[in-house]
Amino acid sequence: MNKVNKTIYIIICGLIILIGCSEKPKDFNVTDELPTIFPDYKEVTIPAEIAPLNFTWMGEADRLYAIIADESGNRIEIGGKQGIQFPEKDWSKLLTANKGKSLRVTVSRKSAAKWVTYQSFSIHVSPYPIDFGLCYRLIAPGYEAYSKMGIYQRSLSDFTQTALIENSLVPGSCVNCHSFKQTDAQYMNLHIRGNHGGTLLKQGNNNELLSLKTDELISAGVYPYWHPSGKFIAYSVNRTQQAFHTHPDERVEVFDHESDVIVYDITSNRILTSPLLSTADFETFPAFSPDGSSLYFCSAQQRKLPEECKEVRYNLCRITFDAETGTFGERIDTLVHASAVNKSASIPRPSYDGKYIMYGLADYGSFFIWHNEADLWLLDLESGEQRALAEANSSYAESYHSWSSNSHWFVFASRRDDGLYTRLYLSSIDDNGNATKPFLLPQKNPAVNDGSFFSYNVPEFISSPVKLNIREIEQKILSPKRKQAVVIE
Amino acid sequence: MKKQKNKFYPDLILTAFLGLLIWVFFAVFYRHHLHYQEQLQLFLFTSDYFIESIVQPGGFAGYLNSFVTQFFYHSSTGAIILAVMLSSLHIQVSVISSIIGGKALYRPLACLPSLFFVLLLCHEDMLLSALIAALLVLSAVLFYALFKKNSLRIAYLLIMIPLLYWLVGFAVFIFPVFCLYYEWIIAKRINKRILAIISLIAVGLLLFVPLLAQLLQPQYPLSRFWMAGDYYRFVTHINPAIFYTLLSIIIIPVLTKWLPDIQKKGWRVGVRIVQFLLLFIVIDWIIGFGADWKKEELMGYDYYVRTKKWTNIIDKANKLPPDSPKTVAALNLALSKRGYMGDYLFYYFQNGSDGLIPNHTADYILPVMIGEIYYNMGLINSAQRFTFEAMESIPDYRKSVRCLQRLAETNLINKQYKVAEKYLTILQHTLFYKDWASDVLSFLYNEDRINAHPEWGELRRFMLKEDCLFMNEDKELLFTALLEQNPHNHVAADYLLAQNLLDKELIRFQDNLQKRIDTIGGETLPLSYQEALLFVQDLTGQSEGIYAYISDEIRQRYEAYKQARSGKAQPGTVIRENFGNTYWYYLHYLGGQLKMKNQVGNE
Repeated sequence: MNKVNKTIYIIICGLIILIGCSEKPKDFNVTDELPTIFPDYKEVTIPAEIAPLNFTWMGEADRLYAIIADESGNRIEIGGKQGIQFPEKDWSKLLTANKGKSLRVTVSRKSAAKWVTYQSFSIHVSPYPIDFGLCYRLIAPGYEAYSKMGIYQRSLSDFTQTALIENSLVPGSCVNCHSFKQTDAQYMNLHIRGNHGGTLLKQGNNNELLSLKTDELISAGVYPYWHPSGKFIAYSVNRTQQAFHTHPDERVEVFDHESDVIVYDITSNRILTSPLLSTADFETFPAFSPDGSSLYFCSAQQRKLPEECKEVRYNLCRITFDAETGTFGERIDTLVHASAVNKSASIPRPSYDGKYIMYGLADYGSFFIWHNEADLWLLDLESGEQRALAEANSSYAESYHSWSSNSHWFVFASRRDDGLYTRLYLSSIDDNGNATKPFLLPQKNPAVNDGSFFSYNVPEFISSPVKLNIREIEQKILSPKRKQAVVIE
Repeated sequence: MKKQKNKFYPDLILTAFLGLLIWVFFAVFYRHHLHYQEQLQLFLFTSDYFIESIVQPGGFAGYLNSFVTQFFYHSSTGAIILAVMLSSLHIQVSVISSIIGGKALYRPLACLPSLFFVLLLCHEDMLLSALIAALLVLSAVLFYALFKKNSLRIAYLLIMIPLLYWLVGFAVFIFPVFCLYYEWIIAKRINKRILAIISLIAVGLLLFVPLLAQLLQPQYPLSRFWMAGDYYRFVTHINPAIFYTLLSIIIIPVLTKWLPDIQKKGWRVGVRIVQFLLLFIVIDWIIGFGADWKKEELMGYDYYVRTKKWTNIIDKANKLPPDSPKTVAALNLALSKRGYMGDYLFYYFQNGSDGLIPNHTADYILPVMIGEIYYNMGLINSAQRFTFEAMESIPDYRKSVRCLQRLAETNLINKQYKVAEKYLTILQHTLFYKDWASDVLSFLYNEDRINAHPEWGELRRFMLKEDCLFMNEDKELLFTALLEQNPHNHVAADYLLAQNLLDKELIRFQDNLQKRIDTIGGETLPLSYQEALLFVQDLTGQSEGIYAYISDEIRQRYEAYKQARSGKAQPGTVIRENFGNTYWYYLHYLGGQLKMKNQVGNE
């Protein structure tokens, strides 16, 4: 083949590929059925800033073709073999132009050389903006051992995921419980477990490694929550154990033999306690109210474990907190008396606008990722009304959840896709407290999670990217120096 | 003619002989090490897997390591591949020796790096990546010598250092050493000052590239980049043996150049004999000290458990009785699966109930065996848990094809079809498991087919329907629960009674046997059960019910045993020879104290 022939051959091949990619449905049949796409993005409400909702077909498909269009006739048409991947710039432009409006999506599928066009569906573009991104942990949904794992941040407007810290940085370590001050990436807390254990506290550019374990406490700090002032972090301290089920529908049970709630005063390096938060009963999962004047937590009557494991039921409680003096109130209020209806409440997360507390509700215990029956509930702080977030729940576990900075979005971990590997879903809440159908965190390759051995857990919104000097963090972790906190009774 | 004779060309007869020797070693004597390596990889024919692999320095060698290791599925094929790779290394070392002016007299020495690699690969945690890296680096060295133009050679040298580093890891250091040796000592075509600068740049690149790599992959400590390549399964550990083996690739060719040339025929023969003697010593060292035959034995048991070749396990034990908790556990499972446990448990070495189900340790080997035992008795959640733990504990963060297969099965049995589907879909991207995965996929959601399956259907019938929560493995509680669920679970029955016998809990043994006599006892009871019952009867004087199962032959043998014990014969000799395969011998001489002493009085 001479040079000219070769060039022509390459051009023809290129044209064939191009034509193949943009192959439009012709001689197609129309069906009343809705398309069976994964993820299920039919009738979801999304923020205008979100990355393209790429999808694939659930089942056999030789080719797909999708048209997404607004009322004015602006549209994106795209075909694909494995799935539909919308061009990011065009997608962003279309969504930005349609805030508060709906887009219609029409999907066609080619199978056995025939095209079928399915009934179109809507995607609603919310008027509420969403934060920069999410921070979450990726870890295999295992028992005690763990392979590669880490804490990652993901931009919501595109598909960029970057590692904040992975356990490969310091071999033998585990990283968990990342937390931010009301989505502010300048204030971050996370724990490093293992031989070089400690609690990493980030305030602006200042990174410190703390030791929160003292003789007086059951353990070092576990589940964290920042005070809105940035001056305190509430933690639970827990003596936790795992037990294992023999029933095929269940795997693991995680429970506390002991647990209390403490507050760490960052400025004075003191740990504040209250006898009301350090009782023989189990207190855990603290969360400050958005004005910082209350501390919510979960409390359950002490039980003999593991024998009475299924009798441990937590209520959602509140104690006042004075940030000026660092003192607690002298009374515990019960906001959700879940145990009275043989249920257990866990992971309270107040919305930052002060209207609601979102929490998990299951039959017993507090570690809901292993409870298929666990659902999200919403407590209206004004009316005191509680309701299951039926719009968001599934027959599988709904577990960790958090609010966006404007309190109009929430993200939660759910096992609905396959019953084991946790994925992140986002949903919107309007001014009346109505939630929308949740949508799976979009991925560039919508089938990417099929081959992944990781679960996404502890999703937290972040308003801007987290900036960590990883070499500095590595040195600090490897150094034996820790700022030792002191307990003040 | 003389010159030609002295040229260091590869000795292909030696290469062929070396290859054959290596093939025999790995295919015949060390094959279970290959099976062991194979189970700890999950090579996928996907672009994602390729990209995931090569984003790490040394990742391409790691990718090829997994690619090659998957062929160890058939150990003889795996051994051929190893033989070819190590023979190729021999040829490469020979050709490089030739290029740098090595003397033909020392050709046998070129076998040494290959033999050192055999020694290295005898270790079960040593991966093929180092050998692959060496082959790729030497290929690059050979290519270097083909460039005639100085400028091209130098450009190639400087480009290949970072490129090779990224492809194969720290074995890259061999490349500039040979290239610069060639320039300084052999070619001498470049001005020395310029060459000195080039040498400095090359060394600088070698030192700088790992630092650059860390900038691109910041989530690793710097030490990981100095030792890039993951040649050893414990990726955070530095194993100096790898470095020495790689170093031998440099030393041997250089040695063949610098060792004195000998002209006298007699001396030349002598030098050759000395070299072959050296090779023989190295081979002897590999067989005697380098190879871990105990582990090969253990891996053999593990392989037969994995492939459910229960008879092979028993045959193996008959040739050489197992004596470690893991091998004894494999044998005991095989005995139970073949229905021989009650009769022949004490025909083999037993040392307590750890030999039934070993105590869990946080590694990636033992939990697999524990999971196999639980799986075979229908404790599917426990099997799933230990398999998952094993896979997560693999130190180089890789996944295991064996574990994934088992997890697909446990999820299928547990009706967790979506999770099973996920694992099976991944396995469909493998070479040797895709057919199996496709076949199993066709079972999903088909309850009738699964229930009719000889293995999964039976295990479903064995499974506990009632939930039970446990923390520490109270094994007797679990066996009892399984038997209450399904009295025909013969593995659970074997293990329950064997646990009582091995723990010398004879009253519990008697109670448990009594409760299950209808399902266990036919016309006779297994030998060890009769022996245990007779011992209890001798102490308690009871004679009704269950004791009727004791045969006259056992009674006569017990009398003989008692006489032998009361005589002057030493337990280590006459008693062991005549009664070492009885429960009574275990009771009195092995496996800790008798626990029924306090219950039924002293013997």
